[in-house]
Amino acid sequence: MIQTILCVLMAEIWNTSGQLLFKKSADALLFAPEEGRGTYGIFFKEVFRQPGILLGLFCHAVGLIFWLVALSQAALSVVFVLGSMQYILILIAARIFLGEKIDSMRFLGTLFIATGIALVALSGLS
Amino acid sequence: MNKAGGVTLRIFLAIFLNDAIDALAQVLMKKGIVGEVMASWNFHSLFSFVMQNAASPAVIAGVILYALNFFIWIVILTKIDLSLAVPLGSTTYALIPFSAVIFLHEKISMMGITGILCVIIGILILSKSKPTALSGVPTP
Repeated sequence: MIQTILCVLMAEIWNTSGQLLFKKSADALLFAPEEGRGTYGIFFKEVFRQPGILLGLFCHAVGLIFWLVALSQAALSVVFVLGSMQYILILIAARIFLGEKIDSMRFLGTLFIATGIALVALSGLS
Repeated sequence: MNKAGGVTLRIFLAIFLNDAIDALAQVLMKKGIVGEVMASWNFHSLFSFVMQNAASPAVIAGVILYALNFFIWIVILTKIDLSLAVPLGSTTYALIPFSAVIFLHEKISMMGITGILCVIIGILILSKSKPTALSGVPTP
């Protein structure tokens, strides 16, 4: 069990780092067709030129290996419940590294969703 | 530059589609994994665990769906804060069981109903959160 928890935690740390890198790169992309800037064609060309995207993919690959190992050791629902740690990590990381403003609505909403998903997973529905 | 806006129906639907694909990919990978537990905790058995499962068709299908999802996710991230996208992106885990109850008449416990209600309330609360780009806080 402890091994599973550590595996999920490692997967989430790697995934959170990957998400931060993705967001940084997405903000740097020239992509806003509805504002007349950038197209999907430019998007595909530009995506893999961002070093942050490639690094983020690497982070997700490492995270995926830890996730697969965790899945091989425990039931899907147990891994999902443990996975709700991710929301706390993302909130903290987005605040520190991206300067996103975490207002009370965002904190409360995230808390509700994390609790709800843990309850659904524990009830054996998903 | 942070161009992120708030939660709109269009973005919510994009995130929902993204995560429905993700859920499918995860189920495929769980089905595709062979060999229950890693023999021991070292690099060699980690490597053989990966090699053992890399050829499984279900695992490969899962990975392909992951690749498709990657592009959808990057487009989503150009439009919305990360700390909004991630919690919204996990609502499928509650909304898919919810539709199973409605359309397939699956049995549901009190705990399951409470969980689904929590998720729906959470989405409504998140839609009231101001996007960083519009709240006057400079982004680094």
